[in-house]
Amino acid sequence: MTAHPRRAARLRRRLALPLLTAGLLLTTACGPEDPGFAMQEGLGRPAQATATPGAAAASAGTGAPAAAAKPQALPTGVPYDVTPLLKPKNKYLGAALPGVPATMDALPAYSGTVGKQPNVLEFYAHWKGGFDTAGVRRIHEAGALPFMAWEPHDPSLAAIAAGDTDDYVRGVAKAVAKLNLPIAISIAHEMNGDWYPWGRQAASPEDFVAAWRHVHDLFDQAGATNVIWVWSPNITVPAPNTRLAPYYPGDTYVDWAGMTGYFTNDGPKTFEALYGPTMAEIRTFCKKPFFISETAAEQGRHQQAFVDQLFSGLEAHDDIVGFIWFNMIKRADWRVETVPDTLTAFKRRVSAPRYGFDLRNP
Amino acid sequence: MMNSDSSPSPKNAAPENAAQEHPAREHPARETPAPENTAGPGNASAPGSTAGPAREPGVPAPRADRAARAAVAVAVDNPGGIDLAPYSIPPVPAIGWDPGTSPRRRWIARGLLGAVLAVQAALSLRLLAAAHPDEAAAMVAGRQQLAHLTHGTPVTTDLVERIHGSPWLYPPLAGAAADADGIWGARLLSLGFALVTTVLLYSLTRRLFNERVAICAIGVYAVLQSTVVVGFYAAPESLAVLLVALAAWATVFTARRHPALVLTAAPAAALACAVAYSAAFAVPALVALAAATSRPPGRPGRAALRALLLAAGTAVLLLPYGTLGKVAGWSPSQGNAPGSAGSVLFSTLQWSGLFTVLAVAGTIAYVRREQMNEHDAPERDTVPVTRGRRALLGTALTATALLVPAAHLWTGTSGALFRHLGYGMLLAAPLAGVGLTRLVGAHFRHPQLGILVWVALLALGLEQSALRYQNGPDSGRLLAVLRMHAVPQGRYLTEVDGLAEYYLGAVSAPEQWVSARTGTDYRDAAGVQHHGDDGSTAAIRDGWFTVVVLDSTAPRATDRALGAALAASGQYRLVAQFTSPTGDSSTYKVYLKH
Repeated sequence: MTAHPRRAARLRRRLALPLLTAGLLLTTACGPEDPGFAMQEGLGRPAQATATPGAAAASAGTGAPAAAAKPQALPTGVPYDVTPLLKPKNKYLGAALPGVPATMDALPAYSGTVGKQPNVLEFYAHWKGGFDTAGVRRIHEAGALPFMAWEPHDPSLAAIAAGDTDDYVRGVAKAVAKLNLPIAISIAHEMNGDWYPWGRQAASPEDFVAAWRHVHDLFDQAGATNVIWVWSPNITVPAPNTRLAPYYPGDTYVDWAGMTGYFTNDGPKTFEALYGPTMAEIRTFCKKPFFISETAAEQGRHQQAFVDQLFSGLEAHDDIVGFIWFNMIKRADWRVETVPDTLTAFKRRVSAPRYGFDLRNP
Repeated sequence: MMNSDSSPSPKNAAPENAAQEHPAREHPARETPAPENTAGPGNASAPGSTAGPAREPGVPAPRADRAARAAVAVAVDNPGGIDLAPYSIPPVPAIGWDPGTSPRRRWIARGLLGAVLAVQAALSLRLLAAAHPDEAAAMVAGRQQLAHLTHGTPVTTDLVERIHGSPWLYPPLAGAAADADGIWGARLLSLGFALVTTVLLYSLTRRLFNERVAICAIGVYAVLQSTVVVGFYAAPESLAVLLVALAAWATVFTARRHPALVLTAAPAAALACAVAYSAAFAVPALVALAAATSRPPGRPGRAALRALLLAAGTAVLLLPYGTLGKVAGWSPSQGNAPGSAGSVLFSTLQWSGLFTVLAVAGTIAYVRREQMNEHDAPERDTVPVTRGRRALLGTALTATALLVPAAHLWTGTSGALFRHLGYGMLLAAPLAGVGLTRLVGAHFRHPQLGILVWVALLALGLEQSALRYQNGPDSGRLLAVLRMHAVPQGRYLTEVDGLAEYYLGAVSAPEQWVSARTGTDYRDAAGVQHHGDDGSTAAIRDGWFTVVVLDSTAPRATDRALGAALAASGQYRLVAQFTSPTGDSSTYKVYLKH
């Protein structure tokens, strides 16, 4: 009668350790990863005395070959270093062309027309509209810096700041990081105006700043440090009572202080009148380089003078790193080639060596 | 054969004869006169021994009487009167098998020991990778210490403070090895330490128990993550574990000798603590081991004296240079990443859970019942080891495996747990060997259970040691980025100590790198002197550093202070961020002044 309990107890004793082992194995298998340390075998050797600090030379912009900007010997996965692009020796020559980046057909014609190939190409992307990795790659392969004006038409800035679109933003950030090419991104440009759904009539400066910082942080977390962040308000002329400082996310979150400002027949006629007040106001809270993220000259008797004003102003301000010519038809024909005299003036000014450069050797 | 059979069967229990075979052995049976064994087998149980004429008590029987009694007995048992050849019963041993060594056992055991060492070396050598920051710090500091010792060159790096041990013991060794063959040389040195540790573990376990337990002990010890990683990891712990093993071995080796000889273990114990302050975890176990192994058993005064001498000797040897104070003031949290209680517990469970369970099970089984082959030289001790002594021995050896995670739990840190666990694993290994032999059972009754546990430990050790080298942020890519931004006059603040100093020696000098974990001595424009984290944040605020490198595994207060200073400064841009491919929280961030 007592054999069964004894046998059962013996069985329990024998099974205890195997069961415990199986339990520990399962726990180990299901547990979090070990926060160890990662190495690459190729880096197991110390730097040799013959190794040249090529990257340092490249970042200093000493005219090193293109390969020095991104040393070939780097292991895969090293983020593209955009710091040499933040304040290059020459100025960016940019353009916004129809169809880019879905198609690059407009680029050769524009380059041929103005006599120089632009090294920044702007395009507009809807929030939650995905990220055109192939298009960005096409722009880069064309020798230009992709400039994405990211337009939050649908979700409000408050919703973005609250994290409602985090999955989407993370997806874009990971795609950008994986792409590992330089890209300039501007979120909710012209936010100080009232003509966009994200403008001052719909979102507070706090919403804008919170959304900007939140998106920036998500990009940082994804390791997308290859982004040049362009804070891009409209010039203050049409909105003189809206202060810009509350919209500024902070120096940590911004690389360029962008400006959108068009020369129009009923607006300021000189560069200083058009951009001066905005630049002066921005300089009270920000020391980042300026970048004219959208400009063009309205057709009319002042158009050629506008072009001269633009280039003279650019040359007068070393802290303006470049501009983008909006060469499209939108509410007006802003294309530079429409008026031959304007095109001639544009070509003449653009031909100066200070405009345009090889991105690999800024 | 190495047999772990149960207690001797009655047919083998012949204490009287055993006393004859071991005249030096103290045994009560020795007091009784030995019976005559010259008669034939029939005589051994012959009732005729009671026959014969009566005599006075105490008066020896005359030889004639005894001959007459023998003749009567022969007549009774051998009525046919066949002439029997006289013979004598051969000496009967105390136990049914020979507990002593034999050439066959010795060579089998040594062969298995060699196989285990080969497996251990193979497991460690496969971990080819660049240096961990701690290893790089030890090598950079070691090179400078070595140059200082040999040429009087001043030590300029602040990485010396990163080493939680005497800067004059392990770092010069690592520096010399690194001078000879870089990180490979330093790691080979650690591998040598680890293999000698395993040999010592085998030797002391064999002395405590027997060869089978010793082979099981080193078999399970050699495949643990802590053994495999620290065995190929240029850190003071690799030498400290060896010294702890040496101290334990000396303690066991001198168990039967004069109590004062236990002091031979004190230098090794003290040196271990000086090499790595974390070796203090093992000292209580060593002291308890001195008491538990004292022979002969049953003399508590002698055991206590051994323990006292070892403790006092170790403490006295640590007095020079204030090492004792440094050891006493050391905490696992110094310079190591914080960890929640859950993460510490889970890490402990992952890295040492099964092994500790095996050791605890071995301890319980050993305390409950001692098998005759799990006895230190049973042929030499007649007084059995009491249950209390077995409990003391088992607890002393196993407790360190629990003490180490408990200390990390108490201090809330998990950064160096994988290294510190090695002390506990080393000391618990003999009992884990007992657990494994008990699991297998006598005569290899359940070999599958032993194989199951060992394979499980091997799989865990393989996986965990590989993960330790593969996971986490990629220091290779970090170095590539830092190399890009290194400039001749640059000043660099880094929470990732050692790596840049070691690998970027061609483009920067060690003194250009300031350890953020140590802090910065910085005088601002107003002439105010800042120190520590305050100095680092003030220097960042003024844009004094060219590059700042953050490591999320650095102490939380430092990491937060630097992060806030970088955000407030506005002069630095994040140029690279590397996270672990497995998505854990460890991250490297590189900020560049612009």
